[in-house]
Amino acid sequence: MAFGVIQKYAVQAQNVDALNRNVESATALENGMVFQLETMGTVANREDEVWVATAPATSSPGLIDLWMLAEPEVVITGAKYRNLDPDPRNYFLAIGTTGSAFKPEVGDLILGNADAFTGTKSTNTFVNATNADFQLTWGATQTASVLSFKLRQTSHMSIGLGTLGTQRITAYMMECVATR
Amino acid sequence: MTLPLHVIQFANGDTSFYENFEDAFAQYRSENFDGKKSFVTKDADGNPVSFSQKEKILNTQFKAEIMRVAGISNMGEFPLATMASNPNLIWATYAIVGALIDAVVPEAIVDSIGVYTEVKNISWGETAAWDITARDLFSVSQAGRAKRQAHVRKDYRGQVTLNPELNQISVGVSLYRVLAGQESLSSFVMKAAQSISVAMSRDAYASFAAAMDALPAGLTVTGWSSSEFITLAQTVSAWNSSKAIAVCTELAAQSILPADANYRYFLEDDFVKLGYIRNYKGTDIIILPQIAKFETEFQLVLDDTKIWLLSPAAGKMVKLAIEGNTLGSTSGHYDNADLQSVATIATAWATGIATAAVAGIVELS
Repeated sequence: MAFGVIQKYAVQAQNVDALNRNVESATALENGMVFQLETMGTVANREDEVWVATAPATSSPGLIDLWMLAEPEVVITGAKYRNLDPDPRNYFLAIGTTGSAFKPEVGDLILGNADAFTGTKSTNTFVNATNADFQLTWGATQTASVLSFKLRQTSHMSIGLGTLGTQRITAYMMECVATR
Repeated sequence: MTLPLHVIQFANGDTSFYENFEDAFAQYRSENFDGKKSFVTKDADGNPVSFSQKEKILNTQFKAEIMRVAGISNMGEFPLATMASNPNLIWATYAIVGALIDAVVPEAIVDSIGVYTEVKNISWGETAAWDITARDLFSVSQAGRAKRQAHVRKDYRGQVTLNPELNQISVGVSLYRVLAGQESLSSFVMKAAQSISVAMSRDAYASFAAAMDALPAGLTVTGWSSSEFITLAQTVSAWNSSKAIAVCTELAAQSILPADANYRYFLEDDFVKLGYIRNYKGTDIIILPQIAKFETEFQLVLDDTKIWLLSPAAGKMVKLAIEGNTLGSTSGHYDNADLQSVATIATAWATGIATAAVAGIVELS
């Protein structure tokens, strides 16, 4: 199974420290997943700067001001061996390990592979935050008052797959059009 | 000719026997198979030397090497039949058989499938891995004068791994036929080595053919068309940044002809003498020697209806991983109730596709 891969083409978080946070989760997370960061770890565990990711929920505070996982992909194979596998599609943030999240802002551009989003692409041109789902979901329109991205270009990522056919995987360049 | 390091170590300094074996093997292949190998034709004094003379020398050297490795100085102390059951001699014989196969197989492999195959030797228990860099370049964007950076782009390496599988050949010889002189040790070793190299070649070809048959549109042309052939050669050359060559069997190469059928040729022309054109409109034609399909009598392995376009300089698409060294073992005549001595030679290998290069295929029918 391939996991989400994203590239931060142009994001405000590249220049603003406050838009970047450490994150850990009780659920394994893929890059491109979005979540709430409402609570921090404890000083005793030296996790006072590590935020706990919880699935987006329509209940307070709603599907707004969400954060997105964007941890550099160093794959752990068989839950034991790190850096054996260079394929970024095999990376996920394991439960209890600390990763890096950024806060998408309106105007941010990201490139995400098909696995970074859920639902069916078909002719849909938006991905929206949905209740209880860590992944942004394809939709025909922008959902009001939630984190939402609009498809700007269908593109690709290049991976040295070793095959004789294509070595490109489909990817979508998305622009953040709303955070709340 | 070069010998693998472990063979040089095994030879303990005197590699003449292994070098002579390589030479005889080259002559054997040249006379029986592809006919293109260089081999020694004269001895040190400048006198012509035949294969049968080389075989006699090899048999003598083989016996001497067995005695060296087995630590036996004189075989005349007992009758031959008694010496034949000496466990040291038996072990030494098959240790040497393994070393001989390792001496010649890599070279034979590269000769027959080298145009599209890279051979890698790995230690026992290892996994062979190839890192593949992304094939694409980054796109370049026009920019205004007051913007610090463009979209931050990246691509990713991939990795292909192969885990070799063990392959065996077992041969049984009866004690009586050995004593009667019906078996030639050197012929036996050569046939074993040839069998292994053919099996490896066929695996590599199977990987190659399956991958080429699955090429996407844009890299596939159906039926011979001179212009489409040139287009495909251009595509492969451009994407690999390396000149493409056409690779096929002699029969397939006969289809590579100009679109205008109103051609004439002389009896001395390449097309008459060789049966194909060596270079067609700037693209070299390389012939793959056919391989016998031993499981079906008189059938051939390579597909005569395909012309493949490759850029070997951009990377060999098939990878062949050989694990450890060739293992040889035998049971002595008196270990078996029927006085049969069974020799087993085992080599571990695997083949697969691992490349960033692009290739094309012309399917003639």
